[in-house]
Amino acid sequence: MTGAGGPVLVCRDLRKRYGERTAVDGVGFEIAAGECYGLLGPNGAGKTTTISMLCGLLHRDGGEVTVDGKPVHEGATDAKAAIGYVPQDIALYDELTAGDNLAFFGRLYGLTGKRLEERIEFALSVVGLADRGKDLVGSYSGGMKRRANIAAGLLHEPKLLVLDEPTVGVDPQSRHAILETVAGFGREGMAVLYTTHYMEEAERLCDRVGVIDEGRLVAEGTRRELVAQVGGRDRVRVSTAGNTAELAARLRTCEGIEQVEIHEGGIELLATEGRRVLRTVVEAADAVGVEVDGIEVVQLDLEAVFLHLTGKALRD
Amino acid sequence: MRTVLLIARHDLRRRLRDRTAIVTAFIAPLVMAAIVGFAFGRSSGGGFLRVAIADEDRTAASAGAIDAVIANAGLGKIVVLAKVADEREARAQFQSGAAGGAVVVHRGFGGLFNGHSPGGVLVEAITSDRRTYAQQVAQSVVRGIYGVVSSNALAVRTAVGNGTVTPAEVDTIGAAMRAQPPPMGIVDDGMAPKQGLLGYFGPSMAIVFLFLGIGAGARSFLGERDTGTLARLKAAPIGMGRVVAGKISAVLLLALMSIVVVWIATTVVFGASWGPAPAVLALSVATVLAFGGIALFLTVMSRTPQQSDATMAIVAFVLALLGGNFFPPGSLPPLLQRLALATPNGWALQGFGNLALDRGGFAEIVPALGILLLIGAVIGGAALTRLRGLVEAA
Repeated sequence: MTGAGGPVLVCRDLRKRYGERTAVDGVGFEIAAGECYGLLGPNGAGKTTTISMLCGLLHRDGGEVTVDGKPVHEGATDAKAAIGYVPQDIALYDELTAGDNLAFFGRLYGLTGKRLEERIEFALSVVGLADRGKDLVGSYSGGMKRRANIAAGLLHEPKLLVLDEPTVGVDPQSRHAILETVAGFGREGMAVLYTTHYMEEAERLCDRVGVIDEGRLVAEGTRRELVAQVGGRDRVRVSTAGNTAELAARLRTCEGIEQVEIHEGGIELLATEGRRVLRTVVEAADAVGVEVDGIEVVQLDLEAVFLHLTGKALRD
Repeated sequence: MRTVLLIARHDLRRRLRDRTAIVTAFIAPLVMAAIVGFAFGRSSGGGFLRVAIADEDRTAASAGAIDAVIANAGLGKIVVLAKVADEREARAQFQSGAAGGAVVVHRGFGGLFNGHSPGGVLVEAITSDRRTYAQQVAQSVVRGIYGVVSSNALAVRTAVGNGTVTPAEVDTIGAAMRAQPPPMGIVDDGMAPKQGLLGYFGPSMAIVFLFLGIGAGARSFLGERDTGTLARLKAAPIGMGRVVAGKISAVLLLALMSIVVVWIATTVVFGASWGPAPAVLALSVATVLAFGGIALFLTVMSRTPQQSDATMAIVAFVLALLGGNFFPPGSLPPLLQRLALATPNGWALQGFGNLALDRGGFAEIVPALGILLLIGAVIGGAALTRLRGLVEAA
């Protein structure tokens, strides 16, 4: 199916319901070898549910998934062997060394002997833990655990690497190291599915991004394609002190302003022409007695795209 | 199979790195068995509930009365009534502590059956207030022997009075009474009572901690679900059935190792006797399966590892109390003895008691084996069904 140049991952019309609640509703996309695909959405958007179905961890109510041409379901050992899964949790045994953890998970994928040793060494070196492999995982910092968590997903040379928010809760230095590592996987020909709610990570890493909200894939494309969907709009960031709610309500009624979101310390607007609404913002602030500390027209990014598509901010 | 063994070995290795598991599985039951066994052993001056009986009358009537008492005493499994050669030996055993008490049937006792009353004490209890259990047993034996006299003497006197038998035939009647095979044999196989006691309290304590140990192992399903390692196992190209089989195998194997280590240690270090090895092993396996099923059921019914721990501890000690783990066998009131058999502990203890104290074999533990395996199959089966849901949701 995949062969040369074909998609490594194909999923179509994925659906999952929990009682009355629809967690995933018709999600579908493809990822080619060497491509890094970002699934971008706020917490609770359906990212983890989607990748759980893609990896055969969760029974799906509808839809199809193939990895490397093999259908994925809970008992699909062939397809699972082609997937490297890096869960959001640190899925390692604290009481074992990183090397012992990797040896155990490697054996589950059929690695043994010299080959297993080589792969452990490789995986630890890729994530920068080559000299800490004999230390207990429990003694690692949060960032080191995250890196070891990624190493466990790499051991068996998967064709598709699925990373579920791998930078949650890590310091900036570790985050940088993780992003550098993941960027390298794509360059080596691995298909990568990367879920995050950090817009800057998706922008930096991903060749294509799928925007997911309330279980639906609301947009998909390269960063340039997605930004183009917002058209000639501008994003305006207003720093304020005072009653931002009243100011936001007033701005929503103003011409040229399409969307208004309140954030800590200010308001973000999506405007048809940013520079022309600056006066409107200042006048509205004066009218409701809110002090404006600063106004900035910023370049459109995926955050703005998300705001435009869903009417809410990524970190809501 | 290779995957099952891989996961089982991995889980065992993790469990054995946990000091709490070592203490629960091996050290605590050994220490408790030794303490409880020695404590009960010393309470009767070293001759735990062993009462020596000397027959100085040496008539068919006295021998028949003694055998009848022994046969019908309804004794607990650790009470030993041992016939000795004479009064001198009975007193010597009492003095040395080899017997907690002694009973001497004096010369002239047989005359009571003929209506003769030679006077004086004909059946004497030699006891000490410091040996309360043995004192009670010895006094019961005396009352029992007099009870035999009362009932039989009346019958003999009636028979002599109405001419059915002649006085000369009384000895023959006594011999016939003795010839009746008693339903329970006299325990006098040279085994020190303490050996049997440790052979009983060893498995008894092992069972209490076994449950906690199995519970901690079963709880690892919840722990692995919460940490995400269960999801990682699900993502691997192995069937979840193998994961479950591997993890459960590790839990049960550690539990079995726990019993076997306590068995070997109490036998080698303390000289305990648990009974014939094949039967002990079979009963141990059945016990592990029964408790494994219950522990797994309690685990999968819990939402968190903490809830599982608390439930396990409560159930373990309630079952131990009801089942009689903390009491000498046969010492519970009749109602509680019946209630004990509503618990796996009661059945396991009955089986181990039969092996250690009655010197029984496979035949004596068949009911216990059957019930324990049934408990394991029914409750364990229900737990496995629910476990499937837990694993799917991970």
